[in-house]
Amino acid sequence: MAAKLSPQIDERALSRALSDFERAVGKDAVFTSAVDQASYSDLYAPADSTTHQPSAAVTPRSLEELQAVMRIANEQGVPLWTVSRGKNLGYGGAAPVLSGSVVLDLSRMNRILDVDPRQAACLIEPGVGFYDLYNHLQEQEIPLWMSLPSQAWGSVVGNALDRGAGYTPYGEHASQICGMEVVLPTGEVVRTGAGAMNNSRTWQNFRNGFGPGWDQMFCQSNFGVVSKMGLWLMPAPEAVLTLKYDFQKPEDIIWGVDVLAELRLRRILDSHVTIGTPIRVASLFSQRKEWYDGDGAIPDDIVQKMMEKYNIGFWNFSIRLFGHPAMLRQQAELIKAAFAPHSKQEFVETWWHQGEPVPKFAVHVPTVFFLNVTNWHGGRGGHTDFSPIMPLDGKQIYEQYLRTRQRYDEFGIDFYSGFTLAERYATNVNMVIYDRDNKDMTDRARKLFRALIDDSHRAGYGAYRTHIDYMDAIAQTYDFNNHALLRLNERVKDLLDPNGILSPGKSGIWPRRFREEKR
Amino acid sequence: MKYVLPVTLLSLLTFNVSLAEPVSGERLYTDKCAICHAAGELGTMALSRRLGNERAILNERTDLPAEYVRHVVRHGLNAMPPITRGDVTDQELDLIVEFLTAPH
Ligand SMILES: Cc1cc2nc3c(=O)[nH]c(=O)nc-3n(C[C@H](O)[C@H](O)[C@H](O)COP(=O)(O)OP(=O)(O)OC[C@H]3O[C@@H](n4cnc5c(N)ncnc54)[C@H](O)[C@@H]3O)c2cc1C
Repeated sequence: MAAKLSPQIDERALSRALSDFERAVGKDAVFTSAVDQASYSDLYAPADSTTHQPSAAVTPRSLEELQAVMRIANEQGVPLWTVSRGKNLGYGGAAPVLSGSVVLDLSRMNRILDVDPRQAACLIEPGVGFYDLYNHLQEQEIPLWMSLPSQAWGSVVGNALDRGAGYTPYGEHASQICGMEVVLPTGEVVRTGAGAMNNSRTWQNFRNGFGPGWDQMFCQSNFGVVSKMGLWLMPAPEAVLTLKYDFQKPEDIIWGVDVLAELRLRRILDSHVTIGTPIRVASLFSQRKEWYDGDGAIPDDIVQKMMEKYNIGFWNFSIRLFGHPAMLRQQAELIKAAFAPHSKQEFVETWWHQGEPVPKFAVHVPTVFFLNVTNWHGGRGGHTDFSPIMPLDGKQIYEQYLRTRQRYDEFGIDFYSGFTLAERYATNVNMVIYDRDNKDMTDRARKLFRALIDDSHRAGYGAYRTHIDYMDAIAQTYDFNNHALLRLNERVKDLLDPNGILSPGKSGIWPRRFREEKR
Repeated sequence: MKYVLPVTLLSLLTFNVSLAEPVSGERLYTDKCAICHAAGELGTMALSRRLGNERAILNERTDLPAEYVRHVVRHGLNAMPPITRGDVTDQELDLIVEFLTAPH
């Protein structure tokens, strides 16, 4: 067996579990070879990918098979690591926190159970990919749009459970969840929200049902395996208006964010706006060596060349408005009026109307083109993301830019940063891009990441999601009352998962048996 | 238009993405590979950098040995990650290989 087993995993118990899995789901659904282990490890791991290498993967095809796998894991005390499609690139892919865990890959539970055009909702299994749901909506001519992450290779359910983001008004994906079916670590099946009623006709309409609402408890947690998810979809809009704009100077982001924040709060603007630097554009269409072959972070004069070549600013963004053209025209007028006192620069307007050919990179059409950024250095590229959440406040965002920029320069990594503005917060996505096979570069990338965590923590900003390497570190930054929240999570974990088999270490939550051994 | 089917009827229909009907190698190639390897996509861009435009679109190539395709799919190559057997089963990979290596 090639994978390094964590000391907490008993090799004989693992081997018994693998045989039992084969009996329960078939030999063709249990993968144990060294090639399989490598394919399920972190595809973007900096340097050594065996740190988080699984020992095997198992792919149940039905709820019953899933329950059987969980029963066996409990009997043998073997940890599973749940993924829906496991394309969590930048955050660890399909790889587990605890090396030697068995990946519970739900790719083959991939039925689209229902799409209700009138209620604008769907009920799907975790293996349904963004492409699958998109193709289904197209082929059945269902006039609903989904919201997509900018790389759409993954799972609709997995992405929503990790609180992913997209770029339509439905872009806060975890907020679109309406009802789930969950297999608890001990194997019991629960339906949340209105689905708790046997003959419920409102499972995908009403999130809360009666009593406490549990949906969000299964996001970014290891409290259960989601086997079905209800999700709201957006009625296809009559038109989309894109308003492209840039800020030439770094400090323009101060007034820019304040103006956008006001528009966002008043819902004149109702989808995420991502403000990004020139390398974000350059890395999509070119490689670093075409610009610069020196060591250290790319210097300002080269960034200036990128701005000239692509005719862009230092900060670049597009506002997208969705709906009836009459509404969009009014919204656009209000947006332009809000910008006018600060700058004479005009927006570049692009209209799209229903029936017209859909342009490349339309936000409701899946693409994986953005994965190109990892090709920046050539070779086996990779990246991790440090993404703290900030208030919508121009001055704080500018200060964060200065702070992170300085850190990228200090560790000699190209500055690739952006701010995605939601209704009441901004996600500061700091991409750390490296060549996986360059040990010096990946060491610097790790040091940069640590420094960014500490700086943001000091400034009062916590990450919303993280890579498997940093789950404990991020959980530690949520430190009110001596980590009371982490202790609550641990108490819930011990209650629901007494044998500690489900995704140990997810979001820094370790079951009792691992906590004791860790100490 | 199909979407005006009564909701109750619609909810009786379920759609299994990979098991519905026997799927052809070409359809599998479109679903699983062409997302990166169609014209203008990132796999094609990477191949055109490495091998030139004329060898950049995989399903137009006539020089792909079956074993090589299998190896690259399972092991990855440069920026292309390995594809798991959960994502593309061995049987599906056989059909894709057959499609890519058939005389054309
Ligand atoms: C260039 C680039 C751009 C990206 N852009 C975006 C973006 O715009 N927005 C965005 O959100 N992400 C983005 N990502 C990150 C990531 O690739 C996507 O979020 C992707 O959709 C996640 O993979 P997945 O959907 O296969 O989820 P999975 O890997 O299947 O799941 C993610 C996590 O959720 C949990 N989970 C999954 N399924 C279950 C289940 N059934 N029950 C319980 N827990 C479960 C697990 O902890 C798992 O690790 C980007 C990545 C790259 C490389």
